[in-house]
Amino acid sequence: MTTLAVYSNKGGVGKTATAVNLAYLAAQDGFSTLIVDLDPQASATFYFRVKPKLKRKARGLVHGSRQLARSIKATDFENLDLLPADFSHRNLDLAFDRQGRRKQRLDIALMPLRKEYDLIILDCPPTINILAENVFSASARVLVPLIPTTLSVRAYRQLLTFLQDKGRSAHQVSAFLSMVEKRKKMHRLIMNSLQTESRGVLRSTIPYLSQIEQMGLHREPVPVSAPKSRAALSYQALWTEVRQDLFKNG
Amino acid sequence: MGAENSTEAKRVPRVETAGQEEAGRGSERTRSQSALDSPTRFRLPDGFDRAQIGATLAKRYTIRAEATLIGSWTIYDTFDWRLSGQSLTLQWSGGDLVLRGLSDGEVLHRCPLASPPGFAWDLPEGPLRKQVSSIIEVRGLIELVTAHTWSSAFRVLNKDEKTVARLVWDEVRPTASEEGPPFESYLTVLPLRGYGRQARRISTILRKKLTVASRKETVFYSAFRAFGQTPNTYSGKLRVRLSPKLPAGEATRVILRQLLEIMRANEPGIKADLDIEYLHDYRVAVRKSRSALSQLQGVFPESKTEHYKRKLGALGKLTNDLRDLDVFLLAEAYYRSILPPALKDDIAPLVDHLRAFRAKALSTVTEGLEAKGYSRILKDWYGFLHKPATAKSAAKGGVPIINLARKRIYRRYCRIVRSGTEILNHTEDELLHDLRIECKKLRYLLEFFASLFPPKQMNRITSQLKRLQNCLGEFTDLSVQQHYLLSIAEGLNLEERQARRVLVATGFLVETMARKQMDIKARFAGIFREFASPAHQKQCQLLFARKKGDES
Repeated sequence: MTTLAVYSNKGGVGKTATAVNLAYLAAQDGFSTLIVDLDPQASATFYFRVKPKLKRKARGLVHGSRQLARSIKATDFENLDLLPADFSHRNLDLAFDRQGRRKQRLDIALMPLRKEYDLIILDCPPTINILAENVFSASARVLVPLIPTTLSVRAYRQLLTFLQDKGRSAHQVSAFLSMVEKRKKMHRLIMNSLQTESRGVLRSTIPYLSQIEQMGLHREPVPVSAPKSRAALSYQALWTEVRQDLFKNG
Repeated sequence: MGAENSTEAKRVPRVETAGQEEAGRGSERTRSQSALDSPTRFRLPDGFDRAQIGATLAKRYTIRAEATLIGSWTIYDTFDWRLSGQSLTLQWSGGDLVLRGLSDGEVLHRCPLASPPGFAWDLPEGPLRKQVSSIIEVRGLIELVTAHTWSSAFRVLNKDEKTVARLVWDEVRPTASEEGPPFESYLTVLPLRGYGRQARRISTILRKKLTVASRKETVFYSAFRAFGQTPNTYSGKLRVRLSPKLPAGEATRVILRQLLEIMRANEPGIKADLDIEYLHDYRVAVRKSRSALSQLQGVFPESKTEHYKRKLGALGKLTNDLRDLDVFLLAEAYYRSILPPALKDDIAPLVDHLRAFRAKALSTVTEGLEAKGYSRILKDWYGFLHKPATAKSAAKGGVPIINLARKRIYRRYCRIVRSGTEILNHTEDELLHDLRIECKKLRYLLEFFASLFPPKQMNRITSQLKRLQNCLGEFTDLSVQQHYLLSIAEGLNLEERQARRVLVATGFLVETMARKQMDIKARFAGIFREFASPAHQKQCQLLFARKKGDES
């Protein structure tokens, strides 16, 4: 079993779409998969038509108790389960902060689930803080969607610096270009320079496509709502690359 | 390491849910359900279709069809139902072979297999082969039934269009056409994680219209029924139930009729050369028939007895060569294992020669079985065995079978005890051979008349006899093989160098076997003393010795 985080310290870069589509493709490939919605906005939960829990606090994640396993919901797809977002994830930072081994709390909480799933995908909110550190220690691989804009690239560099400061290896991070519009000159320029000069940038890219935006409408992964579409094929290519990377050496 | 491997391993369950299982997708749960309620399986009445499933749930749920997986599977067993006899079944569905419990469908082992299974030694190495091989030994697997499966999945959606359970509708038909009525039809409710309550609610609604299938039900029995197969119908062993008062002539006919059935049942397998056990069972049945005729003399008119003994003897002779060759070729691996590395390949010309010889022997047997004379003999024999007994024409024909059985068994037993005791004083090979034949005769008698005596005591006597027979049998087989090997090796037409090498290898084999015989001889005394122990003798006397008032 392994854990993949889809993370960015910048919002609106296509994190949830990536997490949802990769989770679906993994499940289709026969991996028993769990997607964990860590984002208080509960987008992934919404995509899978699961009702976010409003009442209970994020006890599960914070205490790593059995509550967590009980909160898991099956999705509409075989091999794919969801740990729904909880609005009180908003308070996660604080809660993690108050406990011992505060940077490993998430890792510990997920421990009992690792036996059950081949792949756990974390859909993370856009923050750099204690939650981010928890995500990094809980994941084998952190996948960062990157829009080819100056600001986005700057945020990515900040992330790498942050990791260095925290004494983490930059090898844990892979980036891929997301929401790419090839007709925009800046996108082309940044794409070229990033893919040639930076290590850890995947070859697959996800174009800016309306089929992806419409996920909110269909509430289904792209390969389900538009199986032959460019969007579906792009995610498939990305998954193939990520899969090779994840399962290459144990 | 094994990340790739482990992902491959994980992917197997998906393939297996491909409707090829006995109850399709419903029968095996995915991992994410392991923490859940178990699936509930309903038996569907004839004509219950998809629309009715939808209508039953319509008040609260809608159902949405997903793919229907069409597949087929075939059940294999040996001709003598060895797997079914152990309550096992071997199911092949194109890509993989699964060993299951016959009555509960539980998967015991599985292995990938691209072509239909034939012999145990052709299966991929692993636990499945190990278990199957220990049961079927040299027997070939034959196709018993092929069932075609339709496994349709449905999602059950709540008012928010969220999937809250899965249904799997499995149908099994005897043909590949969807037109025919299925002989099995099941609907399985698969609970989903986090929606256990919904699955229970769905099952409650369905329970009002459908009956829950028992957990132990498997599709195999109905598949056998659909194809008119009844497990365990054939056995190479004699299974007669005699009543003690039955006149001996009639009882003997019952025994011989069953032996004739065994002979007939094996003919097609011998001709098709499916495995070597058809011939073996056939020959044993012939030998037992002859043995019955000669050991129960006086039951039929003497002329008839002699006539049929001769005819049956000819059938034995017809098949002698083929059986000898089968035995030798079967032992090839053993011979190779005892030869030192330098000689290992030197018996190759011998083996090649015998293989070619076997092909000839097989066609001789096949021709013999297809000859007009053969069918005439069997028809005649059949007629004789089905004629009502005419007690007056034979001296012992009207005697109650129990009397005759006791007398003949006891006489044979005493004779074995006498000659065995003699051998203890001077062990000569010839005497051991003779004793072996005596033992075999006794064994047949015990088998013929097993139903007349208390099973527990019979089993004890038989198992003691078996141990003695195994010892003697091993001894004699080794003698036979030594002679056989030498005579074949001498007669081989080879260039000189090769011939010399064959003889050296043969010599080594013969010497090894002779040494083994010495060990067996040394063991004989102990085994025989147990067989002829006073306690055992007493027991046999009680069971078989002449009772007051017996007429003979």
